[in-house]
Amino acid sequence: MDSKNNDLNDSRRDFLRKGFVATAAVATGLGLTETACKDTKSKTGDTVKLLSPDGKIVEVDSSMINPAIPDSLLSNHNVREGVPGKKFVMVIDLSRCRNAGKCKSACSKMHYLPDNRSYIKINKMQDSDKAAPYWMPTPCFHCDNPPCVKVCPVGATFKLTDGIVAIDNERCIGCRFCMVACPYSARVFNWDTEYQLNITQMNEIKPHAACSTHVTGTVEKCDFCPTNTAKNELPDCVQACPNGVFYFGDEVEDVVSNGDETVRLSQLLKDKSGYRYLEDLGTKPRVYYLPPVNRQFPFKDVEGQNETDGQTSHESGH
Amino acid sequence: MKLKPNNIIRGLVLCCSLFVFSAQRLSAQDSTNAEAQITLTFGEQDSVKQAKAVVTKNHTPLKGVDVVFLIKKSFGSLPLGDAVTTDDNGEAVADFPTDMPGDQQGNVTVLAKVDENDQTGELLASKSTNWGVPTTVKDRFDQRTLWGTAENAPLTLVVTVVSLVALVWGIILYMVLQLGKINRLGKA
Amino acid sequence: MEPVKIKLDKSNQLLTDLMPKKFNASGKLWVGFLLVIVVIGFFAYIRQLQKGLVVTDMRDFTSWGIYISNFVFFVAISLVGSLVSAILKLTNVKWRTPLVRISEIIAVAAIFFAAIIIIVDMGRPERFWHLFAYGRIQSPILWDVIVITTYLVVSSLLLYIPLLPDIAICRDLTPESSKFKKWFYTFFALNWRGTAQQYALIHKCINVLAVLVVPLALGIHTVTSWLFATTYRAGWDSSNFGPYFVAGAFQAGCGGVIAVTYVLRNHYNLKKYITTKHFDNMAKLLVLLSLVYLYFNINEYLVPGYKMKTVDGEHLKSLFTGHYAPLFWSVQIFGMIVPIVVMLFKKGRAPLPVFIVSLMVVVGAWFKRFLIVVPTLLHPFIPIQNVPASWHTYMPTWEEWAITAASLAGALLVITFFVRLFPIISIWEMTEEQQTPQIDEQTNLYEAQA
Repeated sequence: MDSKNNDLNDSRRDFLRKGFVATAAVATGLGLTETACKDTKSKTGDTVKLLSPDGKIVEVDSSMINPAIPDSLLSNHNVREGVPGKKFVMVIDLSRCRNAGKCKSACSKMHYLPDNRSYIKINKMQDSDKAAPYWMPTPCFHCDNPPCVKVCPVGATFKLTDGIVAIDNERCIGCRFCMVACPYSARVFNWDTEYQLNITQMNEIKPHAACSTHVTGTVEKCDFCPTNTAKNELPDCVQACPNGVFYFGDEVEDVVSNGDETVRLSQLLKDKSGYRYLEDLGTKPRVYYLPPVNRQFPFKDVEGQNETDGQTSHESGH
Repeated sequence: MKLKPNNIIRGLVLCCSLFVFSAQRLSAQDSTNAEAQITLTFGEQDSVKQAKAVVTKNHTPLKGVDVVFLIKKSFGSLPLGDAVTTDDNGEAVADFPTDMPGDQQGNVTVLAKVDENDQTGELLASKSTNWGVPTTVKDRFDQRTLWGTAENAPLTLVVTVVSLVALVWGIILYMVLQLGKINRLGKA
Repeated sequence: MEPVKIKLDKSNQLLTDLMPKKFNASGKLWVGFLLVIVVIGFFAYIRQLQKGLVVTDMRDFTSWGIYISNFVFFVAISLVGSLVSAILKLTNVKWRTPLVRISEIIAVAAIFFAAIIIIVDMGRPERFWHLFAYGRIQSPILWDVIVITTYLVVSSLLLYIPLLPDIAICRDLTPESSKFKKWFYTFFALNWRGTAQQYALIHKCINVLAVLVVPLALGIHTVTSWLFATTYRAGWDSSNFGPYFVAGAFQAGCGGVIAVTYVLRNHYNLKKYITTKHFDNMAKLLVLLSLVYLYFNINEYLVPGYKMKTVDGEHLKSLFTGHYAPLFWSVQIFGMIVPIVVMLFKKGRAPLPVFIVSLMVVVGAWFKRFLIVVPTLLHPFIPIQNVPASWHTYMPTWEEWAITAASLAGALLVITFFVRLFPIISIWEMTEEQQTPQIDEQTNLYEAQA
């Protein structure tokens, strides 16, 4: 098991490394040869073709690639390991959400997604005809009894010890069983090649090696920004929200924070009647909601938010 | 997914560096506001654990300074109630909750903080204690579950599938052997 | 038991009637037609490999489309192999003999293309080996892989082992001049000499396989239903799904075998062997199976329809009165009710009406699978919003239609070429029946009484 992981990690690192070299090659031109010559390794004779950002194929000796970047520049993140001793948890305060959309744009930016695509969605909800509508942001719920992980035939999606449900895009076969198994529609699929990162982006995403590079034909979803959480930083959606809707923290510490205020998780859920969406499904989400009472903003509907009428009312599960 | 020694070491290194870092910051502040000081001590009164901060200026207790007690956590510092104003002795006391999770040994880092003001400037004191409730992370990751890894499949499931497959493919193998027999019978 | 003696000369009428024949003009046209469809589908699949699944109309919400519904259809059709060659055998139905091989080749072709179409649906087909390298036994997909592979092997054996004596006839009747053909039949005939021992061995094998294939056949379709029933989705979250799928599969498979039998009977002039009695019997069987399926349909729609839970209700409304109502009611009426009514009458059980009704059953079965897969996905718990308007609906693209049509054409091609190469009605089993007329009469008597 471990050796498999390491192989995988290595191949991922190799890929990033190659991306780094390709960019460096274009940026410094012949300088690369000098850098490579400084290294004691002799040429292997194998050449590797790399795609430069302007779309040209560059061919370099494979010996130039590995020594070009020290390992320390690359994340050591193992996709199958969580942050030890933590159990990440999120609380979403529905009384504060006004569909500002900053969480979505921060998510798109963090994960190198196009503007119209993000792992977090803000849904218009209305529990019954008479009930007032409200906005409900939905990231992945990182369930403790995750239906998506249960059905994965190849272990491409799995639970980390820190509670996160992660995806290995090098393992995923694209059967999309997890997408139909998820009751919350949290997962998205790379139908197209357009989301695939180019070399420059691959280089930029280097510190985020734990995040998906949008491999065509594989599934991906909210990952709680693992590179942030490993550094004790809040996920980008939490940081971006102007209204403090999202609290994020560690269940072991029993503390969550929205950046401005830090509170006891148990106290918050007790005081504000926290609940989990569709609790009766038994999926045990790691994302809690605080009900949309005493709202801070009047509900303003957005044109074209929901194209199909008559489909909006749903039990919110609390 | 077990806790590996190198991860523990990594965590320890991180903790140490954090400690050194905060210590440096403290001393820097002390030097800029040489006359104002905050000290943090722990005590117990009527079996209630208390954190006590003493604010002094030129070694004289300062009255009427608002002190906030916090507990250091991963994603921010958790306030222990509202700010406490120092009394005649320059003392501010906060009760320490009995149910505050600490690390595996129950250690927590308490901060006493005075926000930037004309009298004292910004003051911060930090001290660790083992008053927290020791936390152990309960993992179900080594258990055999339906959402576990391939290696952690429930035994009943593995036994059922393996025995069914063995039975059926055993019969298939037997059929193939019969075909071989038919072939040999024809040669004779 | 005395081994069957088959005369290998012109006097044996069975050989003249049943030996594989070269394609005539219409046969060639048929093969050409199927090949064109396969080639177009192949071209569409190349496009899908290059551009990714974006060439389909599947998106984040309708993440399964006609590839999956077509897969379910193939699995359903393949159930007929076990019905005719095992269940009817174990219940001592003698008239089944001329239909056994037809249904078994349908089963093999269908389950083979079910496996192919599931690879077509994968986002990363080149990672198919991950299923074996990293397979998680907790996933119903792995159960399906195991049970479908097993069923494919057992069905192939059940097709091949009773074929041995007939391959030997082909071998012996092929002149030395056509070398490849001679080699082909010699290779597959496994030194068949028709000795008593050899016959005893095949009879034993057929008996064992007939018993083995029944639980496997129930297994493939039950496990396939679990791909849906193990999720929380409205319309799939049902403990009724296993038997519901099995019942539907028997009905579809029965319709399939009747349709293929009718075409072969007319094309190869097999009226002597496949009689109106066969159609009458198969029609009665189809009525029974349709009634069972109707019963499960009532369960599947009436019970949640009575409660109308929020999301279930929306899903059912879209089927009963909404977007999918025309298709839903067409399938229920023309794929189930009308066939039952027509075949209740004696005139309705004549070959031609039974053929037409069977085609209705098969086409209805295909669209029924579409109605099981797609509308559910359009009704998730959190309503679809914030996505392009086109993501709210699903209408397969030409690539999806082409690939699906190619898989169906491919299955028909496999059947067609099988008929070209091997006797589609078992010569040795027909000879065996002719040589033991007493048993035959007894069976007929028994059937007349029943």
